Amino acid sequence: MTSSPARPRTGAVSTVSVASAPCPVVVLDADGHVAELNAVAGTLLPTARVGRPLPSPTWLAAADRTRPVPVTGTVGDRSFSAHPSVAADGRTVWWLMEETAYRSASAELEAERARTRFLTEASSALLASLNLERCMEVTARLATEHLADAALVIAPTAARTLPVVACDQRGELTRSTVSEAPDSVPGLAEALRGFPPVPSRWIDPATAPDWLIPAGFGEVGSLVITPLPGLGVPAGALILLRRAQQDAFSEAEESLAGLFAARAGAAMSAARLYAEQNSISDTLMRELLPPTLRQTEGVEFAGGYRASKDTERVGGDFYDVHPPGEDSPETLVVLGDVAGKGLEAAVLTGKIRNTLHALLPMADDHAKMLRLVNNAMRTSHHTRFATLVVASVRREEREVALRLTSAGHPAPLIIRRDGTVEEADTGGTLIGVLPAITSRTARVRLAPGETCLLFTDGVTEARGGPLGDTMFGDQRLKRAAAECAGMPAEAVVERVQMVTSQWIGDGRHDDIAVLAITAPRGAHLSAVDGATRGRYTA
Amino acid sequence: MTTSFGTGPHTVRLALTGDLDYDTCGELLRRVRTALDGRREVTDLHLDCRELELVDSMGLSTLLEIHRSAGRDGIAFRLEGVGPALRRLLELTGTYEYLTNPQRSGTSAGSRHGRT
Repeated sequence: MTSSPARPRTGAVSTVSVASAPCPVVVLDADGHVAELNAVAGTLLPTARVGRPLPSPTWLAAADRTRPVPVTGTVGDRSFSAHPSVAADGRTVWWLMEETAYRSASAELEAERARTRFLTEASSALLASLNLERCMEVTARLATEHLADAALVIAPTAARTLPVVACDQRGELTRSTVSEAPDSVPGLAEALRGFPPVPSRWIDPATAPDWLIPAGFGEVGSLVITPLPGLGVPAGALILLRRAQQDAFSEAEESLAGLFAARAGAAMSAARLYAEQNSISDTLMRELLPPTLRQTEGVEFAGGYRASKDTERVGGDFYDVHPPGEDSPETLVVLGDVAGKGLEAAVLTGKIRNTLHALLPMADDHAKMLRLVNNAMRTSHHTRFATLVVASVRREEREVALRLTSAGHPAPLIIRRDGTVEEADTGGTLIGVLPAITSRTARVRLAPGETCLLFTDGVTEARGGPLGDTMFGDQRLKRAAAECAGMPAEAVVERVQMVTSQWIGDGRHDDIAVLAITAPRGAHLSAVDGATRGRYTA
Repeated sequence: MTTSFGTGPHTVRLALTGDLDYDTCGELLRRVRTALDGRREVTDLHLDCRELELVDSMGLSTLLEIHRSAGRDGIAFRLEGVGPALRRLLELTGTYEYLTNPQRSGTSAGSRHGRT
């Protein structure tokens, strides 16, 4: 064409080139009439006639002919872009390039990007919470926003009721419990069972029970049940509903729903596992929490426990005070420390406390009692051990008589009225590992106002001080204890806890347990200088 | 915690350095197992504690575990170079004699069955 710009009519060269062009070519004159079209264009536009206005496509017929620019549009289900060349006499030659494949690819790419965006958004929204109910709500809401007109999330349950979270067509969430067996909806029971994995299942909307359909939803066009696969456990089922006037789910949408369900299922089962684990440690905690102590049989008892803040909430330190019973005339105090942390330590702690409780009638012979505990605790599985102190406590007149036995545990401190601090002369083997153990029992008497202090190595091994890395140590504990001379049990515990807390500051620490056994001073009747005994009421 | 070896035909000696605590005890157990693995001629296992720093209750539990499994395999186990801090811990817990005397516990030295 460019070679024959001066010719009044279409030259031979251009005729040949239009006719032989591999793409559809339409030549329109200044009035929009078809001046020429090649065979490919004739096939594509069967209604186009030379000399007549171009009837379709309108996007080409209406294209600007004075200053033509490329235009795009569809012909049937195919996409084209038309590129103009200006010819003589105000004619425009439109070269039509097919873009169907390109357009569908870029549409597919855009859709894929949208799906990825959705799944990413879904993942972060779902993982933001470890709360099962919240996870179900997020799942229902996201499914309604991106996949369907309404969605229901059903959690698996052992009961004959179904916990349901629904998000309706207006985006409103409702939470309910449906008293229906899962088999009232075809495919729901299988989806909730989780194994073997079942694919999404189409349900005839007519068979769906009323509770599946949100109020005011209108006619249900399509309904699909997708299992939510959990981490080895079923996490529930997702039900998607579309209105009658909407398209049914395409294959791509269904596979997207599957990918979404996988994420939702993982998040829900993580939340469920977390909730279960939490309830297990809560149960254990309740069992293992140290008891509240008070005055028993005329002796003061006070205990303090500060759990390690390091991740595990249940610690390895414990104490118990068993008041006298039928078979045991004395109060038995136990304070101990189980090696390790976390659940394993907690289980061992529970075991040793229960065993000691059962052996209360043996408390008249500490060595024998500890031998029995040692035998009960020994196992071939591990060499976890416990160290502990048992104290048999009996009030005798104004004084308190103690039998103290340590099984591999730091010896209790005796705080005398004059501020001297003695270590009880007791020692023995730790519990739970060695086939044979020995122990040495100390007999101690506490005068009124004197205290026996039991503690775990969390106190002496607490790191802190000016440099933050110095152990609190025996000497500092003894000094702190000396300052507690004459104090009631409660005050001794508070004082020791306060001094160690100040030492630790913000630093890490192990479990810390302290327990004070104090002979009450009674009410003071006469003024004394502290060195003489004075008189007391009983 | 680090360990180093000095092994003769019948004696495996591991020198321990650093802390033996909750975080490092699993590693020691693995190294001891590796050192003994498949060596039926070993009769003595010595752990050199000269360079050992802090030992906590899990560390002690691990030493007891090594002692127990050595005894099960008929290997004499012994701690060497026990410093004052470790000695204090062992005495407090009544395990000093048990862990430092080179006596064979469990099966006799002659019986080498069940060794893995």
